[in-house]
Amino acid sequence: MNYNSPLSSGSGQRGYLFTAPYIFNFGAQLFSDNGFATGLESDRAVEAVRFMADSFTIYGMPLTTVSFYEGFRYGRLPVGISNAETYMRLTTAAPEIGGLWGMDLYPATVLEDGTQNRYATGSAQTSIMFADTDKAPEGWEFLKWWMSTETQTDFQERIVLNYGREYLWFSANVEAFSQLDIPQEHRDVILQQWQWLQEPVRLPGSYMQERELYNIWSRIVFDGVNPRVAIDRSVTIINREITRKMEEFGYLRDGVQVREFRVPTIDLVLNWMESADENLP
Amino acid sequence: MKTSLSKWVHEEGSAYAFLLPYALLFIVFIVIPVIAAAGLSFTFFDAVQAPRFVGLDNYIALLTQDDTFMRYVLPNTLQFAIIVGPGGYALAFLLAWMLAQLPKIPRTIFALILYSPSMTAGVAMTVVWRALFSGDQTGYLNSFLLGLGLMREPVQWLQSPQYLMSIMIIVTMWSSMGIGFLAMLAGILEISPELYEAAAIDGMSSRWQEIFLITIPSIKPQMLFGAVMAIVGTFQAGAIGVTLSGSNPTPQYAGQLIVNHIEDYGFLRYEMGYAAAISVVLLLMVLFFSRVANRLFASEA
Repeated sequence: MNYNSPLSSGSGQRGYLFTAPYIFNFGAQLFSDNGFATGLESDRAVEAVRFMADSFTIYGMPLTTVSFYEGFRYGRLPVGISNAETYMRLTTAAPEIGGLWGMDLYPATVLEDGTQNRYATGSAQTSIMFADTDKAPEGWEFLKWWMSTETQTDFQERIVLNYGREYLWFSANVEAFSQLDIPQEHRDVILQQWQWLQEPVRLPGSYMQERELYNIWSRIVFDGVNPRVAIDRSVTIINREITRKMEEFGYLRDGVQVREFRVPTIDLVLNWMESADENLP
Repeated sequence: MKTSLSKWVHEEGSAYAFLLPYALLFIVFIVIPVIAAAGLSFTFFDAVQAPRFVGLDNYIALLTQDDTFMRYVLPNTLQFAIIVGPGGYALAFLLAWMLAQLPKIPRTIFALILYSPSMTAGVAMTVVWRALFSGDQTGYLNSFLLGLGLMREPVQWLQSPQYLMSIMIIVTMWSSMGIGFLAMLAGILEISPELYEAAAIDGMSSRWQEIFLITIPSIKPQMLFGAVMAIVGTFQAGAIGVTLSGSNPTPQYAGQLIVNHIEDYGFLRYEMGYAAAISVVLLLMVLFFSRVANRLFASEA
């Protein structure tokens, strides 16, 4: 099947960027609720990993696509999932197929109860302020100015005006993005997909899960190992690393939990945002 | 007192003065880092907080708890070193000997050609090898084999654990004609032709005997130099698997060498103390094999 999936466009160890959407879309959790163990043991996670491998072993998607952009231009890979970079290349460097292609939402994973999940990862830069700064009001004012719709719109327009469309810049401010000068149908799709953005949380020792998730896939696809066996082997490794790191950061002592660890889930972040005004100092 | 000092300065001071530039550089860039690494290896150091002394914990963890090290890294490194070290060394000698038989101009040209891979390895890696072994159907090797009809779908040369190590070995052998090779070539050219003539008169019957009875004994110092360079080179080779596969760690740790393991702990996990402990172990391994080479090739003089 000539289909580009993100998993095939990476090389070497493929990180959460490529593997985590499968876990999210099957409704599985990357970590246990308290954050002290991996969530890969759940049936849903096993299902997700199985699907992640089946796409390649049974449905024959290409295991490597060196350049989706080239493949797409020449019609070798007529359909695929890709990122903003490919979008930019196609709009600016492939005029010969301009208007012959379109964009749609990330393919949905339909669960048994009928839920359709379209989660995809999307990490970029962010701004932070340290609690012990002595210029808190100034810093806050600056962030408010920089993040404001006005500034962001201005910035994204000026970049294109000064350097041309190849430098198209996507603001993370939704309102500013809605004013970006790209075709209406593309913007609508991106804005809809925006609702399905989910990044994996980074917990102590989670890098081990990131690499083991890929190794599980690699063992199934290249060595023909049974998914559950492949997962079982990695679960031990991941949990050991999480325990080791949790001890190092002082959440566990001799295997006993001494401090509570809060896993920042989507709900928790939404909760913070809603109650943000109350928490203002 | 004063006279003895000025006498010392007069007699030996100049020797130390001559030694100073080298000694200074050697101390600053070799001795201090080695001592610092050895010191760090007894600490827990996360690169943010100050190192905390933990005694031999890092070494104990390396020997008893580091599954990846024992299961993948050590066997990989030994396999890689045992094939590439002696293999590349033999190849370097063989090619040096063959080149020595040529007249001057073609010899220089071929020497340059054979030496260039070891200089341009980084560039060639992306331009030649990654394109050649690309897992895409458009990769040169895959495209060629698919075109011949020998296989039905592209092989993942660089992603699949069963091929990665072999390709690493092939590529490293290709670029192993380094400084050791040049030293051996120079050594072989230095051998006086009278030796061969005398041996021929004494009843030398074949070129084979010539190599083992005259050429190799005559270039023992260069052979030792080449051997030490080969040993250090193979144990230090780490970039290869990472460059080929595209990430550290390599898929399923298939091409994980000891240097990658150090980088993994040092620069991905920021456990500098542990990384230092592994590098001390690496240093001891290199030292051990260099001693072995010394035993084999040291000239009795």
